[in-house]
Amino acid sequence: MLKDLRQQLDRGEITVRALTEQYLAAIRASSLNAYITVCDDVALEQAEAAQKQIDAGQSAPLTGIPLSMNDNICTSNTRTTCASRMLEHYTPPYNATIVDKLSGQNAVLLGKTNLDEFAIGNTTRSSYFGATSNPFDSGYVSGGSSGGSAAAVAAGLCAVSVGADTGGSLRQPAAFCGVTGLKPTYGVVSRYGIVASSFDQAGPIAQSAEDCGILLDALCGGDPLDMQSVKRSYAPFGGKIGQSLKGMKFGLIQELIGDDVAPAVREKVLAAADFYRQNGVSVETVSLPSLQYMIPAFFILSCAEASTNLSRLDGVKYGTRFQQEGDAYEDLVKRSRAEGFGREVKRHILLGTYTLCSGYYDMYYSKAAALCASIRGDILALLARYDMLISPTAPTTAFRMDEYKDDPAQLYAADICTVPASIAGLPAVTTPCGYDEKGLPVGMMLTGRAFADAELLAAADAFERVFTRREPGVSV
Amino acid sequence: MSEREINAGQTAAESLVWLAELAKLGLGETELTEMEQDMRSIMPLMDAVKELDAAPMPRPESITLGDLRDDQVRPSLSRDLLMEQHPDWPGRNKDGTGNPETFFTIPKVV
Repeated sequence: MLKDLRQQLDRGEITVRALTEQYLAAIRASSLNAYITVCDDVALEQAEAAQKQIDAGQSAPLTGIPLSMNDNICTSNTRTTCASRMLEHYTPPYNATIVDKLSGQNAVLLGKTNLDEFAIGNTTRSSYFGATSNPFDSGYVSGGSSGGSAAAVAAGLCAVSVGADTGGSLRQPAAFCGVTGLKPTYGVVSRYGIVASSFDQAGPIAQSAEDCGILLDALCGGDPLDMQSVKRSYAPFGGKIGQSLKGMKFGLIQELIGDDVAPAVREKVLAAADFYRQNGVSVETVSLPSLQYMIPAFFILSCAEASTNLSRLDGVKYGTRFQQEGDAYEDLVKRSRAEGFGREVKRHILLGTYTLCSGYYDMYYSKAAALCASIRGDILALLARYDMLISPTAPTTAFRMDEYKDDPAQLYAADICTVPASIAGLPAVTTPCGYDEKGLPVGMMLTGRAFADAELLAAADAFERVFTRREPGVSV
Repeated sequence: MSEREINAGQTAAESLVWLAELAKLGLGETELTEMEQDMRSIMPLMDAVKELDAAPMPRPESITLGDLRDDQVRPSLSRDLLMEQHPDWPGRNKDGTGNPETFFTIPKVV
């Protein structure tokens, strides 16, 4: 899509303003609740600037392209709420580095998309602004935490989007909404200005692996403001697309295609594995026994980080102040945090506080950290023998809107497929590989070695060229 | 009430109250009951790590730092811009005149 849009814009077949207005109209007409803030005026101003660049014959790949991004990415001209009441009226005093990179190409920001509050969740149900519906069936979730971004791309409410992935927060919603999403290698994309935990990595969500590559080209790069970003030169991430996969070796993770996986998901992913076999890839079943500990370990660390990171939001240093007459300092802080945070965030804060308590730190946090290091070693050992690992992106298709509401542990366990790549800091791409009996998309995920993002996109692209995607809303 | 007393004869509800106090979260009665139910569901998930012997596991790798810049003072965000972020800053007059307060108020601490 991006290459087609580029040609149309550069040839003058459509103006940036007209294209932007089309998307803004689609957003206004949509009932998905994919956006928290729509930047009508700012988008049209940016469209004018982009048009001038195009008219001067100096367009970059994303000049004039209307896109969206998660609302936990700081934008100085637009509020950044993190889908929380605590930051409902917060406008950051600076841009995230990736925002500056996109502005540098005069991309057009249509708006900030919905997510789970502070990116904690996998449904968008915890958003203060309400859940985002799945474009394929509004009775189902879009996934999360980057559910708004994924739904917006799937429903044609933007050309591409920037999501953020903690333990699957970009890949799972992309799978649930039937689009392509890439969690890059940790450090490829700057995290400066993203309200996130240490696991987070921003990445592209698009209609194709090729478009993900074009967006990642714009986002990538070392950043002196993010000491965990990697200073390295990157070839275009679409550069390996079209190259033969013959001779490659993929490992199919057997623990992720067992009885715990929905039958339709298993069937479609195994069919995808067969596609790769038919194209000269050797696909062997592999085992990752440490998978059973990944969710507990990851959950403990992410709760601990949430507890620590969110402690600054107290109505004094940051965040909305909720105050009653006569409140002392401590009362003000407790009231602001009680009123400002939702239930899921409070749960994470309490659990994180528990695991970091003196007496429990060694029992939980230290062990979880050591376990994650061990798990990373197991995954790297597999990738020393295989070029990529293949698995479902999620054990099921999208949940119903009311599913697992009283069973949070089941929700957390549903991240089993995506957490390994997050723990290991490795790149992973999801692309749709089928639809279940309800017409909901099934996602197939490829996990690669560090900095093999281009190879992953090429492998995903190879599948996409033979797979017929359905448009949301089309009946089965 | 110390952290070690959390499991020493305390009920789950009492432990939760203590954790909420540590986390500076003002939870009401209904919320505490809901959280208690949530914790019962989630704790078995977390407790899976307790049985593991972490001794033979490798130490977590150190974070690899990128290039660090020299420790030099550089221009930063303006005081006004930072102060504007606070919910209770008197600020400048609307016409831009006046000497802005260089502090923001919080309720009395002691």
